This record gives sequence, C-alpha cells and structure tokens, in this order.
Amino acid sequence: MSAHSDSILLQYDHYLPAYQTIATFVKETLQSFVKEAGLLVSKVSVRVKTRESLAGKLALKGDKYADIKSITDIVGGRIVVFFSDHIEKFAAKVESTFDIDWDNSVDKGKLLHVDQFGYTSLHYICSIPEHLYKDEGHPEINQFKFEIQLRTTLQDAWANIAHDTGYKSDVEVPAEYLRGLNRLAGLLELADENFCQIRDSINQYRFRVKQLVRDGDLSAIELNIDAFEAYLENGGFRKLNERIASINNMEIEEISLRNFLPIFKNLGLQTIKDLDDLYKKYSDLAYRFAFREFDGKDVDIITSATAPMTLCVVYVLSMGMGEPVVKMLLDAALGERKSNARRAHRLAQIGQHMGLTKNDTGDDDGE
Amino acid sequence: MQVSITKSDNALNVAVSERLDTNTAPVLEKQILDQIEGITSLTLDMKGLAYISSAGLRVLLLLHKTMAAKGGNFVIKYPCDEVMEILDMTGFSSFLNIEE
Repeated sequence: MSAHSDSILLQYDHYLPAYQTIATFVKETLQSFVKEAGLLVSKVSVRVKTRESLAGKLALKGDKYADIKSITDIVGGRIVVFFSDHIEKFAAKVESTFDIDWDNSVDKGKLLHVDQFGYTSLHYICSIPEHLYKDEGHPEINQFKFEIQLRTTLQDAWANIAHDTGYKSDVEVPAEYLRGLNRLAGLLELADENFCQIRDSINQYRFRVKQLVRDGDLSAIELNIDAFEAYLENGGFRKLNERIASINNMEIEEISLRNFLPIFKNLGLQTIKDLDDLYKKYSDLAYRFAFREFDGKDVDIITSATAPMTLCVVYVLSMGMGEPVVKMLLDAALGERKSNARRAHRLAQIGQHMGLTKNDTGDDDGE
Repeated sequence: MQVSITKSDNALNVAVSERLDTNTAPVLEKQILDQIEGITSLTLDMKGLAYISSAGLRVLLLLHKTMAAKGGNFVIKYPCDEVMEILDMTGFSSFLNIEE
C-alpha cells in the first residue's frame, strides 16, 4: 500500500461519521421515494463501503484518486425495481432531489452500442443539496459525493452473479465468458421488457372485463378471479343479500367472497354468464330457503356470504346432489370442521321440507 | 354471564359462559377492550356459553376487526352446537377463526 493510499484511508477514518450520516439520509430519502410512488419494489439498500473494501480498491487503482472526496462510491444507495419502466419514475425523483454530477453519472444502457448487450443500470453520482440537509459543523456532508443505482431485479441478479466471477471489469473477463455473460444480459433485457408487457396486458384485461360486466355482456367472460371481482363490484349477490336481510330487518356485514370462486367453478360454472344464470334462476328459491332459516330467529346481523352460500346450497340440493355434497360445499367454504356435518344435515332437512330433494337426510321429519 | 380473563405477556385469554346477549355483550366488550392494548393474541373460550345473540355477534365482529387492524390473532374456541349454528347461519364462521 502506497503512502498516498494510506493517507486516503486515514481520511476515510476521519470522515466515517459524515459518511454514515449521508447514508442514513440517503436511505430515508430513497424509502420516501418508494412510499410516495406507491410502487412495490424489490429492495432499497444503502451501504457505506468498508475500510477493507476501500483498501482493496486503492491497492488496485489508488493513484487515480487525489483524495477521499474524489472517490464517489464510499456511500452507495440502490433501488431495485420489479419493472424496468419504474426506473424512470425513480430516476426523475433522484434528479429533482439531489445535486447530480452529470459528468460522472452514467446510464450504462446508453453506453452500449446497439449491437452490444451487457450491464444496463442507471448510476447517478450525487451530493446532498444544502436546502435538504445542512450541518454547520460538518460542511463535508454536502460536499461528499455518493452513488445511487437504479436497476431491475434481473439486472441486479446479473450484476451480482457477474461480480461473483471475481473479475472487476469487462476488460478482465476472458472473451468466451464475457460472450456468455453478455448473451444472458440480452436475454434478461428481453425478459424485463416482457414482464412490463405482461403486466400491461393484465391491466388491460382487467379493465376490459370490468367494462364487459358493467355492460352486461357476460357470455364471453371466463369465470376467473378478475371477472368474479368485477361481478361482485357490479352488484353481484347484493339484491339477494338485501332480500334475505329484510326477513328480520338484518344488517349486512360485507366480507370477502373470493373463497366462493373455486366453489362456483367446482359446480361446473365456466363463464360469468353461467354464474349470473344460476343467480337469476335460484334467487327466489334461495330467498325462500333463507326465510325458513331466519324467520323467527333472534338474529339481526348477517354477512354478505349468506347469499352465495344459500345459492350454492339450493343449487346443490335442487340438482339432487344431496347432503354429502352440501357438506363438501361447507368444507370448501369454511374449511373442514366437525360442525359441517351437522350443518349440512340441517340444511338438507330444510331442502327436504321445501321439496328440493327426496329424503336423503335419514330423518322422517326434520325441524 | 361469567367472565374469566388471564393475561400473559401479549396474550389475553378470555373464558365466557352462560349467555352473551344485549345485556351482557357490552360488559364483555368493555372488559376485553380495557385490557387489549399491547395484546397480539386474543382467545375467547366459549366452552360454557349456551347462547349468543346478535349483540354478542357484534362484539365478536368488533374484536375480529380490532385484532386484524393491529395484525394480531383472534381465536374462538369450543363453541357449543347451538352457538356454532348461529355462527354458521349468519356467515360469521366464514371469517372468524374457530377451533371446535
């Protein structure tokens, strides 16, 4: 180690508290970017380079640096995003928040020639403007530069693995391995682009499904979670719940009905129209069934699951599937419980009394 | 209504018996809410409970929401057949964590 490098290491020791202050500020700021953007990201990290790591860097190219201030990655921050088009949103925040050293900041993607693949990540060399943070006793906090990297999870994985080869730069990597690494970088770039396209397609599909459900054009809509939620948002089982609630002037507590989707699918429904047809066909019967359950009972609150559950029970009993299938229905909706058998028996009894099914409850009479 | 409450660290175990109705539900609600700060695990033992009315159901709903809001756990244990029937009929059993 040269005397020059030793002197830089001594400066590092002296200014370490200032670098730690910078790191804390940068981390809080990057986290606030993520919170404000409302985007899910893979990782926000900030680190202060260790003395050992700096010593290694100086051993390789210590002469390149005049002093500690000329080393711009003592503090390094990173936001790792899931979608490549989120990078530009955070880039805009970085540029408008920190002072950027444009001469040394690089968009590695733009450095590549059109016929090259390789590491594409956005690196900013920044400093903290005084209007954001100022400590009279430590003016170096606004003078020291630090690095912020913005990359996708795939770029991050590529960079970490490439770094793990032990080569510090492209120049050091043997040509045959460099070709392999670059080929993978091209593949990951394509994957990043495809992830954005798939996400956009899903969003467009959800929007289209909502419109179709709203317009009542139900036959072409496959029964899946997006379509089911759109159906629920559009009123779904509300009217039947309100009719049932009117039996005892009951309050309806809204709960998630997502767990009914696999149940309806297991009943053989394939489209939202199938679901809507079932709803229209069996609503009156479900209401009469619920009336037998609730009339005269000291209950004035139900959940929104009452309508779909009653519909399913009435459908199963009307189709002659009987008590065992009602129990399977309860197991699917509530999880397997001891009381489901007793409940299924009770529901089958009501169905029998309504003439929905022949006596398969094992009872001659019921209630 | 008989209520027995034991607290250890961040767990509150409440045993309730007899009837949970319009008269008793507010009492149970107050007793639990008075001690719920810092609690992440709430257990309501219903072994001795013979009857629950809508007022009782509303207390269960409130406790469910209170615990969910703080990321805690709320478990109802050993409801009798009659109480379970009410929980099933009203759809409460579809969102409450019940151990029979």
